Amino acid sequence: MEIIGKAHVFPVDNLNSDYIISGRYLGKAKIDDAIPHLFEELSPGFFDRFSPGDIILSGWNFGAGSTREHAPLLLKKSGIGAVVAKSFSRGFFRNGINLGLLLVETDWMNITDGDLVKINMEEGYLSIPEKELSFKTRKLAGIAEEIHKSGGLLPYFKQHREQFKIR
Amino acid sequence: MGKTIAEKLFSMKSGMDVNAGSICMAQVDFAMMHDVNAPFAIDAFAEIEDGRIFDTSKVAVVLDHFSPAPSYDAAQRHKNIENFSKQHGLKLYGPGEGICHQLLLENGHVGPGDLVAGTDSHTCSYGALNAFGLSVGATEMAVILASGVCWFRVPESVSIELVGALHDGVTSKDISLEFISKLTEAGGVYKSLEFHGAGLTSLTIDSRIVLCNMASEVGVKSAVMPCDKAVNDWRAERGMPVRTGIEADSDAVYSNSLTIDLSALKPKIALSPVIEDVVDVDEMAGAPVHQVVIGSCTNGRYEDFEQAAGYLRGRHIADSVRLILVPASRQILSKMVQEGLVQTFLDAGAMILPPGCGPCAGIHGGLMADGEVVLSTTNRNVQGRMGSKKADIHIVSPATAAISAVTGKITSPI
Repeated sequence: MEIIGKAHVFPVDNLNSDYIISGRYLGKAKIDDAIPHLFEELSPGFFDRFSPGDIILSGWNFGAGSTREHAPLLLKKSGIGAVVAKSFSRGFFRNGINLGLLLVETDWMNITDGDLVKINMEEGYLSIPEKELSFKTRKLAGIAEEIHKSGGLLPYFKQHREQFKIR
Repeated sequence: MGKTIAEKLFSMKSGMDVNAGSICMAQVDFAMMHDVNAPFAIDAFAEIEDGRIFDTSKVAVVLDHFSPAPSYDAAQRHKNIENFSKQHGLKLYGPGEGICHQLLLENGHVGPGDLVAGTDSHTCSYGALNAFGLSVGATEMAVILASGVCWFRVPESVSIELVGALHDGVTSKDISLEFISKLTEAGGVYKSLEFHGAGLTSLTIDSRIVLCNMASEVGVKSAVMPCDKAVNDWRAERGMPVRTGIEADSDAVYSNSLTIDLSALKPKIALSPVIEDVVDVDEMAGAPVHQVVIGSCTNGRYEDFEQAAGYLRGRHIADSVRLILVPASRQILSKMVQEGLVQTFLDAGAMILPPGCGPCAGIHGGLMADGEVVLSTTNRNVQGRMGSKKADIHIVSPATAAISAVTGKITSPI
């Protein structure tokens, strides 16, 4: 499957989940009310510039810190096309995969805000056709890929309940 | 080839012979969820047909981040979590009981050799008791509640050897800031920190918890320490049975290693807004401070308050400073009352909040205004973590925090 979306670049490493969504919004009774506050600390007005299908790109250890599931969940609910990073924090990676969010690991460079990004996970590349740039994406390991293909951990668990037993 | 503690633990819990890099299904010995992630876990659990809790004696639910409820939304959230806990017969720790990690440790829910899953990034704290604490998300928690099992990748381990002994006024918080600056914020991603050495033996369990807790700030999967006499003495004092725990093989293979000479350490400070940006407190001496926070799952234990009291007894905090204390549990607060620390703190001009997470996660209980500086014994200093994103959060030990509250300026305790 190929997806195309407009780039929003956060050219930093260790982007903390507190920066994806601040603690002050964790208490919202309706989780959707927190969506406009995504990346508010780092990039005021981010949500006004964002459209469903857009793609976020960042550096190493994206989603560091708190394992609040709000971070990947709000990104998913915002309609984001994919989150691209050089690497992901363990907590964000697991939560993202478990929620069926598309997480793409690749050593990207020279991509700027507004570039049209094309991603093909099956063929394993991310490209910017206008700039003639192409980067290899890393394959998801073992069960993570199966969970992603099922659409998340809950559907995977429902289909493969027998695997969740220790013999 | 020898095995690390992590490799031995996952071999035991998966029933297979696994090594770093293996992916396995593993049995969870105890599961904890708190009031930030529980609402999602409850929703996800409801989607599982025929969903029953795998073992109600192996689950605790803790209301700590929003306690006591600072808003109508939070109150309603607590009510929903309480209803779920009652409906399924789960142990619930309500507002004012304390922070999830302290409650699991001091109430004997977790012990040597256990695999523990919790919906919090500081679940790694249990390593101080030779338990392997893994932070999980809410969706994973729902699956664990239903099955007692989850998938895990066996982590590589980083060996951290502590040698020498700390000088007075230098604490395990300073050791943690040292390893964070050495390993960097991404230095532990998907790894487990395994602590060893004579320097570790000299540390109390309260101090050891700080090291495992702060391992979270280098992105670890977990952190773990040997099950030695101090661990079993600590458990025996609380009426918990002796366990042998899990020991690493002498020829275990580590991805990298770090040695820290405790006698060479001076008090440290992690500067806003990057936790790996660590310098000696001396380098910042004299800079103004508006608020001091002593507490959290990192440094809210009795030992921390006893140490802080040493700097505050018979003194008063500077007029320009607010001092907020947040004990990590009711047990700790109770001991503070018995030992007269509460009076010492009140006489010194401190506020004492009910046991819980306090302002650490920026939800309530002492948030910051624009342009202010907070010295905090908590664990994260990213912008906006504790109120205004234009406030600076510097992370320090309880000793540095307490003496700085008195002077109103960043001050080294030695």
